[in-house]
Amino acid sequence: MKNIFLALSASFLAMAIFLSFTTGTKQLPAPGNDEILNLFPTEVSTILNNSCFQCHNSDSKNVDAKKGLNFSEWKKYSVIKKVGKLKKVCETITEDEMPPEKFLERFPHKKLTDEQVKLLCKWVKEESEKIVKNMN
Amino acid sequence: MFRKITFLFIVLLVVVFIAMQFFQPGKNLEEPTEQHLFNTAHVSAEVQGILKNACMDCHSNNTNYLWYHKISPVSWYIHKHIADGKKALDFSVWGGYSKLEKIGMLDEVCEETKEKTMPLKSYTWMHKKANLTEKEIETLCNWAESYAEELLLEK
Repeated sequence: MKNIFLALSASFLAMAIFLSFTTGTKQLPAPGNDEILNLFPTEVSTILNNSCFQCHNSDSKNVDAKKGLNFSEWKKYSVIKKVGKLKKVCETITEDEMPPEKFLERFPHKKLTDEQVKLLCKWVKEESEKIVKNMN
Repeated sequence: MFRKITFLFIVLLVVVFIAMQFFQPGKNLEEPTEQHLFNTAHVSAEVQGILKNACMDCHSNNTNYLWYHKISPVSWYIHKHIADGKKALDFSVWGGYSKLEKIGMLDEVCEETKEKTMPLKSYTWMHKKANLTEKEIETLCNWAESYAEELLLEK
């Protein structure tokens, strides 16, 4: 009787441990998104991950999007490229060119709010200054 | 009756067209100042030529107008293009841009010409010299890159 109780509690414990691991990994972002989540400050990465990364990464089927800006290749860009791309990020989101209308029709919740645009543009300025400063 | 209506319609069109000529946008014809790209940086004659032929009409304060650009509504169409072009990049006020803006713009100059998104098709259609050859694009890109690098190293 005692043995059965022990076996039951042991298997319960094992199951609990197993479950905590599996649900734990579920909460983590999809593996592909790690690269962008680690590139920039969290608040910036979260916005980029939500509204931009879907097309602007190496696995994207949208060839034009990843040719224009590919966050998977970010670290390989030259300083000049980075500054150029950053400038374009702020410009296109301010002008409402990005994310594109067609994309937003399918994913309306990915539209950037005015606060998000402001935050990204502020970051663009700081990040470019930082990149250039680190050069010298 | 039908002929009369057609005649009146044509007269009306002509009158409207003539009236339109009295409403013209301002001309983009200012003398270059010391802020102009050519006066703030050393730009080779070759690159200056490419920029003048393919970019400066919309990206500076001085447009080389063709005769039909003075006719409304073409004049308004051109006016809008120039305003948009100058908003994105105006070589006449180059000296006033920050270092970061300059680097970003130079990167775009090369990228857009390489991708053939600039000069605009509607522009090269009537400006054959603006149809840049591969060689010209390479020259322009080399200049843009080395100038951007030079700016980067500046304190």
